[in-house]
Amino acid sequence: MRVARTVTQQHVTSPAARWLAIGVTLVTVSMVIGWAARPAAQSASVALKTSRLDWLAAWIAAVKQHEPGTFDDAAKEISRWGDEELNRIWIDVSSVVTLVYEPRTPVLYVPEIRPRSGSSSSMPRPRPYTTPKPVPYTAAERLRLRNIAMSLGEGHDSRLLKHGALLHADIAMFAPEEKRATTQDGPIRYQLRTDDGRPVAFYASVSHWEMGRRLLDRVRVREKPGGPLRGPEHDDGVRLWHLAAMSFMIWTGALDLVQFDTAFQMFPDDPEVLFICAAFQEANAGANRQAAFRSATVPNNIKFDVRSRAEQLIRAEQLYRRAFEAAPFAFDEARIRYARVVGQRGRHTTAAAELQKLRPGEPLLEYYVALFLGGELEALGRDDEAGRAFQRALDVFPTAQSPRLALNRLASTGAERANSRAALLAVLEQPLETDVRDDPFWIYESAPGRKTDLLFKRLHLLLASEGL
Amino acid sequence: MHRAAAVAGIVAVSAIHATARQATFSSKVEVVRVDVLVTDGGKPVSGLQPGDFEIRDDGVLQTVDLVASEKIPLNVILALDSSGSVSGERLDDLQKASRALLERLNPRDKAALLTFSHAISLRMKLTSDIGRVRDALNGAAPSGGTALVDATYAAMQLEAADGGRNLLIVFSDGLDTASWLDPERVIASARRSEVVVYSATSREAEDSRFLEDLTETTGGGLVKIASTKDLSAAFLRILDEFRNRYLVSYSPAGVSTSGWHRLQVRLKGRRGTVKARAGYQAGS
Repeated sequence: MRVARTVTQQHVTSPAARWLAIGVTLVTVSMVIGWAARPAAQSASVALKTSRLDWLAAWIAAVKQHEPGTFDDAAKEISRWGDEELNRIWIDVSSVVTLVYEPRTPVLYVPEIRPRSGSSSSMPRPRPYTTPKPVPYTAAERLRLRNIAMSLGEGHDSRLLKHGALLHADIAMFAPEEKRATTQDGPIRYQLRTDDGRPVAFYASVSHWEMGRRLLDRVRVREKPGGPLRGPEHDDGVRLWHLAAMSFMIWTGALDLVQFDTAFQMFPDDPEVLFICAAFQEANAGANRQAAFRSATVPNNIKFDVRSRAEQLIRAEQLYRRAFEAAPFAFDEARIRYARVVGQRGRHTTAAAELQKLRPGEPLLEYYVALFLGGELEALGRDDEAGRAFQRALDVFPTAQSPRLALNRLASTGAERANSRAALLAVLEQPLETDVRDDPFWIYESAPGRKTDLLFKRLHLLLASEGL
Repeated sequence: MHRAAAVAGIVAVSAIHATARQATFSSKVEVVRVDVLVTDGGKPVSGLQPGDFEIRDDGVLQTVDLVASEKIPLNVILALDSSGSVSGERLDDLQKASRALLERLNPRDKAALLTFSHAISLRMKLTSDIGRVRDALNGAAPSGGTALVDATYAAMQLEAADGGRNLLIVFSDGLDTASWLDPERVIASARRSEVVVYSATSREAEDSRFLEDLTETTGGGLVKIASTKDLSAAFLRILDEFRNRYLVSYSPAGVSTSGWHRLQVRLKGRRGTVKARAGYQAGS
């Protein structure tokens, strides 16, 4: 498809492009309940590490060696680790961060998972994963941790966390497959794999997205020297990481429900975050996801917070509105999708009026405006105007199937029908393998994620400018 | 089954007698053709004559002019799901069933092939060269979503106004995930079409309401199969049933020349179940 090609042509090996090619949907939820523990698989590298903190040292080395945006040796090494090892890394990194700010703290605790709760959320609030308990470090281990903390110093700890999160994002995107999970407490997620609306598989796997989120939850920011320490929601790198992660998930269909909830809670007024969360809610209103969630057989204690189509559309409408109200002069795409959702909810006059106001510069968005406006006008019985709108969509994408079908259906006279039918069949006869057939309606659900590569580049540049 | 100036399905009376001729449009001589299935105990009833039928057009009794049957060639349009949910054995079964059906066509019959995922692909227009249709079956590679409504609409556009009887057979798993067109509008379009739609769909299909409505509207039938292994039998049953239908025609009298016309087709003085489309759209 032309749209997909435009986004990825300079990065044909980009993770977004590779995942899109798979053509399946993964819907995941990170949880720690109800999964039988199995013996941890021992990777080849396990034997090389003689003590607990050897793993931490190896992880820090990998973070420092990793070239962002690649699946290099450092990423490959970490990708082989299981959820048990990663959970320990997360605990030990948290201990280091604690020691950076409280070097004399007498006891180091297993950190709590940051509660995914917020002020005005319409989304669910998952319960905390664990309750605090002391980590049984030996004296030698405490000393070694303190040395690592001293070598980092304030500020560097957060950079390490962000670079670490980036490493895990690259593993999540580039690794050929996720390892199956073996524990309940580690960074895992349950995956519902679907294909064209059918559940295909459900299982627990190691989640490098969840590992990234856990690391970022520990980021602390001092916005000015001597000022108070603030949480990760005040760090632009953290924001960009979450945004890029969600964008990737939307683009590939490999959705992680917790990711959207977490970002929404952390950045409830950010227009870009609101937009991508709205797109997620809208996608979950789609027939394929609704059918998959309805028919999936999952354990009783697993809940996907996907509601009925009507409720999902209401959520999407609210979030799109908040997105363009937060950025009134810069968000045609949110308005287009808002209008689409409003139309889907049966308010065709409002939808048409909203679409008629828009003049986006991007061809993809021009197409959506014209196609959806045609649909709304047709629903209102204004067939002539609808026909002109569909024609405008074809002016932008001449071989698009959807407006061609719509125009054919609207043709009223015998001559119009004959011409329209011939034009339609001429398009449908074109081989799908060529570049000729191109209908952006086919990627409407994933289109909000088309700037994934750009977002990750912004993140790479930002982290590079901060240094490690 | 239409009034003149409505759609390509409207033909002059003379065109029905000379079935090989192209359709002739006329504003003076109008005829409505109704494809009718008559069964008794589930088995088709043969040998019926015009006098055996009673047709009411918007409640007005009409005079049945002609009953033709299996001598009229068929235009068989296959619309087959090639989305990601139809792969592996399912695809093999589907191709096998399609080949079995094509084998059973007569020399004067024509066939067309359209496959669909989110994208619709017209693999072969109506042709009497059945070998080309069979060859075209091999090209399908399942992937993507399912634009069932869009594809069904596109397939209806393949009907020919050549006096032949148009049969559309749709196979899908029944779940539309990618269509642009509104199902109700496509049903409305089907009322203006002369195509009779039959569909085979899996029993596990979540929502087959569109196919139920469409087959009901066009007087066809919906066959639910337990497994795609049953597809060959289903396709052949559909073909046999369609061949055993009657093409009943009449010149409308005493009714409006536009709008939706409700049809009632009954048997006179005989036992049997009659299946025909619910009505037709005139003057559009």
